[in-house]
Amino acid sequence: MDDRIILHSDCNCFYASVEMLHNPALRDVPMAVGGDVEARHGIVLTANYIAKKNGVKTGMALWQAKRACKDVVFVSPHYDDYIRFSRLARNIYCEYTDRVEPYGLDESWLDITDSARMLGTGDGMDIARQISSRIKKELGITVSIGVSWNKIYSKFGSDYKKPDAITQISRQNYRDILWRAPASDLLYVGRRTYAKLYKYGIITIGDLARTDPEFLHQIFGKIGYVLSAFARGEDNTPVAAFDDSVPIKSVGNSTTTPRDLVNDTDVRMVLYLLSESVAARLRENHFIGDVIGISIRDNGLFSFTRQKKVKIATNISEEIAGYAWELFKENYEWHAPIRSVGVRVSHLSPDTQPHQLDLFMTEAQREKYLRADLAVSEIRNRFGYESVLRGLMYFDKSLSGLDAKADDHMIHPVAYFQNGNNVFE
Amino acid sequence: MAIRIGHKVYVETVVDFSDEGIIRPLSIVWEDGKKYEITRVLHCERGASRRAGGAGLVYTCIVDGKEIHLYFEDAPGGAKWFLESKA
Repeated sequence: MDDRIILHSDCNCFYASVEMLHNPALRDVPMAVGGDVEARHGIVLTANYIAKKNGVKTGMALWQAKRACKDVVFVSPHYDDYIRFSRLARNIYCEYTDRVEPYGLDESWLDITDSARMLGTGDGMDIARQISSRIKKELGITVSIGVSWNKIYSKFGSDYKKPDAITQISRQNYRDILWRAPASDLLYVGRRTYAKLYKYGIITIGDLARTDPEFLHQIFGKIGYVLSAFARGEDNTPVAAFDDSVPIKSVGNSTTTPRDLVNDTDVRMVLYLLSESVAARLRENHFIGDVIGISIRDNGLFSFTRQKKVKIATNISEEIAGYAWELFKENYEWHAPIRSVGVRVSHLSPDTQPHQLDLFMTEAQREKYLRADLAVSEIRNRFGYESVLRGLMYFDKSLSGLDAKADDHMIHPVAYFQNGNNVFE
Repeated sequence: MAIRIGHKVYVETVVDFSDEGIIRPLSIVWEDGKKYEITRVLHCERGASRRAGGAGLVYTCIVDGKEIHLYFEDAPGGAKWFLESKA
């Protein structure tokens, strides 16, 4: 059988690039997209190349970034814009093949094996060049594309040269390019795996490929075989066909609060705040969910998550907050103040689906809560977040002042293995 | 009235939506407060303006005998039309 043609396209410094497109003044200065500086949960989500050159790294706390590069300009994230650009890019990909598998907002795999000839070329590089120039012209941002016969190598290719570059990893050159690179450049070799490999003298991807898979199995268990197959380019995982419903598995929001939470009132405020944002996002994406979860971290090392299945799937803030509050009361004894709180709704289904009514809860009441939520969202969209707040929030404006919606507005990438990916098949 | 942000000038635009779904801008109001008629739309394609800072649909139009690029930016914060300013 002929080799597949697989492209991996990666939008360079995605969040930063979108910000720089919209604000030209940010293009010539070191800048980073990150959370709020005042509230202490700020980290760098993406930095532009000037900031990166000055030592700013993704994941750094904002104060660390400032220490590395004192002139760095911080910009709060605009997730709505990123989602719009992510969709626009995906629309372009979908003109070349229906086999487009997103990996987060800024990356996608494309399998063009079957569509290449139809597009009048048998050459992956040709299509990569077309895509790259269209993204630049139509979206005003750049991509790096890797072209190879499997997903792992094409992902490596897109990381190999940045920004605005195309790299082919072929049967002719993979030993020279990919096998000489450190094993840590391979997808799924994290820092700890790399440290372990290093201990056994496995430094490059080539070393990994040449190591007996049984030996790797002994060290790493099942994942040892996977790493071996990845390194040798024997990954046969298909590129999943594009499906709009896949990327969102749950909607959640968490926050590290500006001060420690010391009593029930504090926690209720934050739970309501988070539930409102979660409910708003569920509605925006037309989901309801019937598993409600919370996560709590105290000011020491203790943290836990609890979830429960509820009878009726919901997207109503009052209900989500109610369940979250129950979970909290059942599971926390106040042995220490709390630093961080999260609320999550999962097991999602479309909100258009018919649902089972509850005999003991009047549907009219639910309808009222939902309408109240919709009205609040509408008012906030028009007049700003602070224009309408729950009475509860006036207990402490420093806590309720957090605009929970703007925070952590993430669609979490579906992990590689969950997405039907299995190298053993 | 037009709103300027750097080289990006948002303009008030009168638009015709046909029953077949074709969108055609008819006129714009420029910074000088004058209304300019769009006599022809040459073509429409997706495009970004690095100078103005935005992306969307670009309408290549004729206004006052001159070719202009009118951008339709369908952003989450509101759908707006903008022009790239030379000045």
